Amino acid sequence: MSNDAADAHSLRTLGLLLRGTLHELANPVLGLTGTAELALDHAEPGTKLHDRITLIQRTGAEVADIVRALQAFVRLQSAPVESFSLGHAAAETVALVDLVLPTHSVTLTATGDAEVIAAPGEVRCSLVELLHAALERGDPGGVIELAVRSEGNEAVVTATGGGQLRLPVAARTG
Amino acid sequence: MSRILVVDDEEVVRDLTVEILRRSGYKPQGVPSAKHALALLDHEPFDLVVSDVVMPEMTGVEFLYELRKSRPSLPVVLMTGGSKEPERATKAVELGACSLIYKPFSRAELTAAVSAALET
Repeated sequence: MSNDAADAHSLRTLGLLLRGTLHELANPVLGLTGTAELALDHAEPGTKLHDRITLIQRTGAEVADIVRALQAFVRLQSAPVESFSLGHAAAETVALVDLVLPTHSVTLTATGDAEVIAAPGEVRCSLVELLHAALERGDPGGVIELAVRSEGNEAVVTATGGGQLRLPVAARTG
Repeated sequence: MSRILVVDDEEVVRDLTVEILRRSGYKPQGVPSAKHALALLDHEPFDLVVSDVVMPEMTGVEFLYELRKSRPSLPVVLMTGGSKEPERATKAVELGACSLIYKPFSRAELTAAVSAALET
């Protein structure tokens, strides 16, 4: 097996395991955050108990946000080719990467918009790769931007410091 | 007071869902499987069903299919944390599920979905 094929195989297996893990995490995380939320009803505000339960709830909510964001990403992978806002996809990808990758205090942003026709899951994967590559390149002055613009019949996403994605724009109707 | 049947094979989630709904002013009852739910529905009236999707023996979508045959107007909220939601969600909507909420949901998300389903 070539290195590329081995990498692809390894990533596919990792994806399967992650998908299963997300499903297995959903119930215990719900149990943790939900129980903490209910327990707060019985704790006197201002007490150490209330503070500790609040901390459990807040920490659990952070884990829940990550699980939900990754679940949404996984669901998109089976979505068919369709017309959608590339600016919105870029903004959601920025939010996802902010949650799950170490950004080392770099601010991630998305600007601009264009309507495109593509497979939403594939586009999200490409956007994550753009952001990841930009983060790997090092400190770009504290901000990494995914800039979306139209260029003829294409929509272009450019990441700060290089890296580009080109997609066909959706035909205008009406 | 609306009676709500909660169906989930995971005890923690079932008990939690029942408790959230009880504190929100509803009269919930929990059962561990779709088969238990169908048996109970034959003897007791409920205004709404809240059911997990991924369950052994009979899935939430299969349960919904059975419900639609015998109780076409009974509102149903499905909850899932599974990885095949697009297909299941599409199927559930075709079968008339009022809504599909994703685990881990918050107390507010659950009560909002239940409240909206009861208004339909």
